[in-house]
Amino acid sequence: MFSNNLLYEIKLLTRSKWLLILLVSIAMLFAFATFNGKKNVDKRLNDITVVKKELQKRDSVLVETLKVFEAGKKPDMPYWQKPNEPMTVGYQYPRLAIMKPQELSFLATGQSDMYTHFKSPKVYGNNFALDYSEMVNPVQLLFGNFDLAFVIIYILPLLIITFTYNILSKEKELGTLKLLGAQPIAIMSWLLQKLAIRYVIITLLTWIIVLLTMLLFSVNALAQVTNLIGLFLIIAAYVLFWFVAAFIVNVKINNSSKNALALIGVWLLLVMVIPATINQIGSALYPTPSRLKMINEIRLIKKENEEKQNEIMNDYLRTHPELAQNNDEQRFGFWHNYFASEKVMEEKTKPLLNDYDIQLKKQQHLISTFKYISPAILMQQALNNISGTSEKHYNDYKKQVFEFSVRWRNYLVPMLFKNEKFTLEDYSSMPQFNYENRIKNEVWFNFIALTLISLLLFFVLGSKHLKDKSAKNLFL
Amino acid sequence: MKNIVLKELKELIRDGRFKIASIILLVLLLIATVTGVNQYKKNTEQYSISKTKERNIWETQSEKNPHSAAHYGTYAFKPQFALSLFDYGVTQYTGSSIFLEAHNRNEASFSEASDQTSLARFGTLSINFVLIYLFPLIIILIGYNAYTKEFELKTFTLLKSQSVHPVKLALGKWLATFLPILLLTALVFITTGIILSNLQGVAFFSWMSLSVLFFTYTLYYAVITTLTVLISMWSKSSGVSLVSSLVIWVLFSFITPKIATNFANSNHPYPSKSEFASRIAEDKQKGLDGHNPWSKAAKQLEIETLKEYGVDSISQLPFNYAGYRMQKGEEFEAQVYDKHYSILNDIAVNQNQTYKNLSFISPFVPIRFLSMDIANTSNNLHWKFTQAAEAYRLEKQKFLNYDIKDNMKVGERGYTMGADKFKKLPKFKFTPPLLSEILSENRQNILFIALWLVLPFIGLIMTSKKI
Repeated sequence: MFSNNLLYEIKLLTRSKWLLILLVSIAMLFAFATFNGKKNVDKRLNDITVVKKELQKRDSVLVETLKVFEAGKKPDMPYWQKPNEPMTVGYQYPRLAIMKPQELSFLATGQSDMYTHFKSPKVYGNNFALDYSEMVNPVQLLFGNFDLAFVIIYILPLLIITFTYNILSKEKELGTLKLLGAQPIAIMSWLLQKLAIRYVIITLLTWIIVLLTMLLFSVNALAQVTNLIGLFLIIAAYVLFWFVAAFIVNVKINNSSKNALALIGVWLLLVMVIPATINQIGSALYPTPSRLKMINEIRLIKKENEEKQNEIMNDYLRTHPELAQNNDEQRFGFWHNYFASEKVMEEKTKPLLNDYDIQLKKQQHLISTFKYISPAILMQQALNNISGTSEKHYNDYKKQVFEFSVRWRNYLVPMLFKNEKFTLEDYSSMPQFNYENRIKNEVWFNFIALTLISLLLFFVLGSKHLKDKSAKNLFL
Repeated sequence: MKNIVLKELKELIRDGRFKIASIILLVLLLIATVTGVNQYKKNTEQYSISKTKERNIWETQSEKNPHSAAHYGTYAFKPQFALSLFDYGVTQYTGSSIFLEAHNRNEASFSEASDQTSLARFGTLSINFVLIYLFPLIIILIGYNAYTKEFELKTFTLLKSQSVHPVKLALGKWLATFLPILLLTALVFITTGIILSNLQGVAFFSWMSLSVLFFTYTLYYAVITTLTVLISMWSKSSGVSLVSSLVIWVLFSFITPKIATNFANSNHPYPSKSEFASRIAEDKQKGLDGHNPWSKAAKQLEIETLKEYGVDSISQLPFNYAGYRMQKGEEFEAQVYDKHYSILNDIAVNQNQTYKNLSFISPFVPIRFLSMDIANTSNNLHWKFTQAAEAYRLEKQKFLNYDIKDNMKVGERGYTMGADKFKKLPKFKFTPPLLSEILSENRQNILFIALWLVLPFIGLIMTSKKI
């Protein structure tokens, strides 16, 4: 009977224009979204190339001048520009800490439109409170990008709904349901088979189109086998969820236009209303700690410690360390005091910032526990994770930059206090930043969660109908 | 016609779906309002606390050299505007505090969105969220079968045989779809108005702005009503009508704005922050640095100043030259910043223009922009705020540099400025643009909305005669 059903289904689909419309719309939407995503990644790479070039330009000046110094000449330049001074190198020639995009970054813009992907921590200054926001038109952040994540999370369910909403009700409305009842197959098995066939068709179509668009726009992504498998599985689970929803609506309501309305309602609820409501209620119940308050507190600490700092070092020089004395002996004392006075401030403000961070993490953690309420949220997180554009990735990048800034300081400051000059040899042994994606890819976990939710819904809400083999109530 | 409207409304009231949908929306509105008011209160309170505290910190700072005080700096805080309760606009994505210091023009820092998880990118439930995304769906729910049900129940021929005027029938159906939503919207706006006029410490609330907002949204609903009824006329079955209306809704509110984002990005890309900073640094190097008396520009200034006052050396000048040079340096740097920030703003304006140009595909876009602008939560408003903060920063720099210029003796070391003088620095004030200004800036948006209102309506009248 299954083969009959399959054959009939395939005939039906090939003869109706639905499959074609579906195919064309999925293909176009996916291609356009992939193209856009790729473009965004290209811009990011392009920005990275620009800053890298700039660094190279500055570095070549640095190397040239160092060569002049090592040849024993004394070029005429103020102390704060001499590149053989470790502090000058540390401040004027900082290294670049670049966060390269992942191969699959084009999938989901995630938070990548808000944050910068390169930072140059300097030898002095507040490296634990750097600003990572990128220049961006806030209107763009408000409306968001047309990327694959959007197509998969928002549009794909709508396509599934148009493909499934009247699978059973149509038979009833055409009067063929009774005929079906006379066949040697239980209506329920027939319905499940039909849904399963359509499920396989949509999932396979989506997979193939994803593969094809990648082939077209981003060949390198195809090498990411584990990530791709993860992506395919999570898509399959998400599609499954919507098929389960369609099944339940079909057997519970069983009237085409009401089915459509109910499914659209579910879509609205899960994709728009619940996320927005959770977001609003979540931030009302667990507000992010106020930044304005933090600013006040830091300013107060600064004010209170000003005198302590003044005892160590004059405030004028503190704000302009590059104007320090030219004289070697005084300089030594100057930097010693400078770091001491900075330390006073750092020791006081760091706990405050840390507290703030802990509070923020707690808040974010609380909010993220709500993700199980809507598969759309689960899906968004999974896609951001695969793309390396989630907030976790950016938080970790910040951490890596800070760790690097400590390395940078620890590399140069000892030179200063040993009164060593910065040489060409030092140039080649400078610490380099290498971004490492340290965030665990939880896509398997999301996949299992999403599948479990779907199965749970299927058995809990559909159990009554599954047991009812004769499907009497469907004829009503 | 009255009968048509009454009959449709009666049917609607008896329809359970409309009731359920309205109740859900009202619950959502209630959640949005309660949490919104709560946040609004908290933010307003924090704003006034921060403002007072910061001013106090400035006034009671320890005695110091005026230039050190300039580095010590102060903050400009963006006030919470009354209608931000209604429409959050881009406030989530722009910071609300700017650090004002010597030599540097800083960006507003700490946007709320950068502290939130990516969940925030789904949008936030606000009154405006319900009104702009969900209310149109109610219209579709009411109107998708306005005509198709008559076709399906074969009552359309009956109607025709009773010599009902087709235009009257169309207008009746239109009104019956529009009136319920008008009523709901009026209810929402009146409640919002009452809440806002009873909240304490509300800044810049006007019933006039709220009324214009109300009018704007009703125009949008009128557009959606026309389209829904028109689609219902064209469709063969209710199902097709519903799906087509929903496709239009998705196209209006999601697909067009998002596609516009990608167009805007590729046609008018923003520089990265570091690129922007290095362009500024490059330009700054070409001119006067208030700290560096040896540069070419500094020597030039010296010659010019001496000439102007007809003296041979700076010690003969009637004021302290160091303060004067510092101020000139600041002014030069401000020009550099102004140039680059204007370029940046031009890019933003061009990007927003890209969105607005797509208004012919989606009336959602002009409504969204107009709503943000009237609510004072737009990018435009944020730009005005940053400009005001920069003007204030320059005023502050001048105040401090001129203190050096006028009061510090030449060559004096250890000159300081005390609390009595710090107090004299005027406070930062920011007033939002007038409603008339906002509306005249939004002429294009208003024009597009008008076109959307008129053209489909003509289509509706014409089609009604043909079927």
